[in-house]
Amino acid sequence: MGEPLRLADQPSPQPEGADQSNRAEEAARTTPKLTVVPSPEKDPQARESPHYKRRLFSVVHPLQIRMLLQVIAYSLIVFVLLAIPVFQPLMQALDNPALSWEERAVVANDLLNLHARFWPWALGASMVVLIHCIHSLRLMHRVAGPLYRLRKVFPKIAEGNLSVRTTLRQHDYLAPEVDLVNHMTAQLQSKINQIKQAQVILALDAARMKELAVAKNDPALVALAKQMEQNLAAVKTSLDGFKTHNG
Amino acid sequence: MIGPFQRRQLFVHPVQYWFVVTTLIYFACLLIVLYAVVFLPMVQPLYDSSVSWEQHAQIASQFLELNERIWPWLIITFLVLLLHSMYFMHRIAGPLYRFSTLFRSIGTGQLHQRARLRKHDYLHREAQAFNSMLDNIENRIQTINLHAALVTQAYEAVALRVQEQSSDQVQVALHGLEEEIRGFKACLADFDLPAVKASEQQRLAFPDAASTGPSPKMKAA
Repeated sequence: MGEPLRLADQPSPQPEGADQSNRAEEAARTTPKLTVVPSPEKDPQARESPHYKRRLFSVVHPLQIRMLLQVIAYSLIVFVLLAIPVFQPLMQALDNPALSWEERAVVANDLLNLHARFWPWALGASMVVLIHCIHSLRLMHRVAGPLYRLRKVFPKIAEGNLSVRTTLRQHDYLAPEVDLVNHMTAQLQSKINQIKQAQVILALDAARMKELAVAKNDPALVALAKQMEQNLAAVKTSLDGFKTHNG
Repeated sequence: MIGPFQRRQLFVHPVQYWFVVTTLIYFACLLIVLYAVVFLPMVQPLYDSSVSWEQHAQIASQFLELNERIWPWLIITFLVLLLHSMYFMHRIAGPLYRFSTLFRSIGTGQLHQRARLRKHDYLHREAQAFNSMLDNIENRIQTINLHAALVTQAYEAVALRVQEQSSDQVQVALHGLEEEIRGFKACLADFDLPAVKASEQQRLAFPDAASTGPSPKMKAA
């Protein structure tokens, strides 16, 4: 097992639009205190151990059982459908009363010869079927494993943990899908980071406005500014539900 | 889980190729074993020079007759199993294809979309988990939108109050604040939420919003 597939570049929480970035820069210039410092602590999920072991026969998805049953069913169908054209004409000839005993003896002899050849083949074919079953299970495990991991990651993203990333074992399938999920999470993270930055700037502007209102000694204006502050605090609480690298 | 989706493309995911190739290889192995064990002993006497030509003819006709009986069965069985295995993998690959499309669009902020699979598709559990994730994120963003609207409303009240008194210093601060609110709303606009739900929510939250009316500056924003 080698290195797990991991999103190579974590997108930086830069605003996407040029105008937005200009606005943020301008705001940062006008309010020097406003810097969103990325937290050095990363999510434990993102630092997950890269050494994933493949458990050969662990059943993590119903697809694996379906696949196994399907291979067995296919093989049985092939066995039965082969046995019918091989043995049926000889069996019919044996049951035919119009044939003489010498002719029946020849047919019986042919039937025994065919039996002697068919059943060793069936045994050899059973080995092929067994290998097919094991290989199919292995193939399906490469599909079921990533699906299992995705199913575990979705609730974490739903809880607002946008720093979580999905990793795969070396030979797993669905690497493009998992990369897309990681990319999607990174994009959402970037957008939420932009909103968080905007909220911080807005909160500081509102605080400045309140200070001015207090300086002007206007109780009604102070009350309104306070109300705005409270609303911004509610926005912050909502945004805190999203866990990103910036906190 | 809905019905109207039809299967259009035969191959939509590389996993299908793998599976079809594997099935082909294993059934080819079965056929080779069959041919080696059942047919080869039958044709060996044909190469024996001590066997008379009448016996040669009898063996050859037996061989041809067995071939005639077996191969149509084999080919039909093989085709049916191949088609079924392709259908089986399509029930996995189809949902994966849909998920991929959704992952791309959700990343761009279109949170109103949901994974809808065909009736007989597999991966319904994954679709359910994904949709539940989207519901949750959408609710969180709706809450932020709601609070953003409240902030805007509070700003409008402050703006009206300041306009009445016309203090330059506060006017400048207000202007800066307006810019920031505009930027904040632009960030939230990246998320494409269902329009009907948002408007309904806003209407429920601010029954008197229409009567107050936004300031001219906010209208421009």
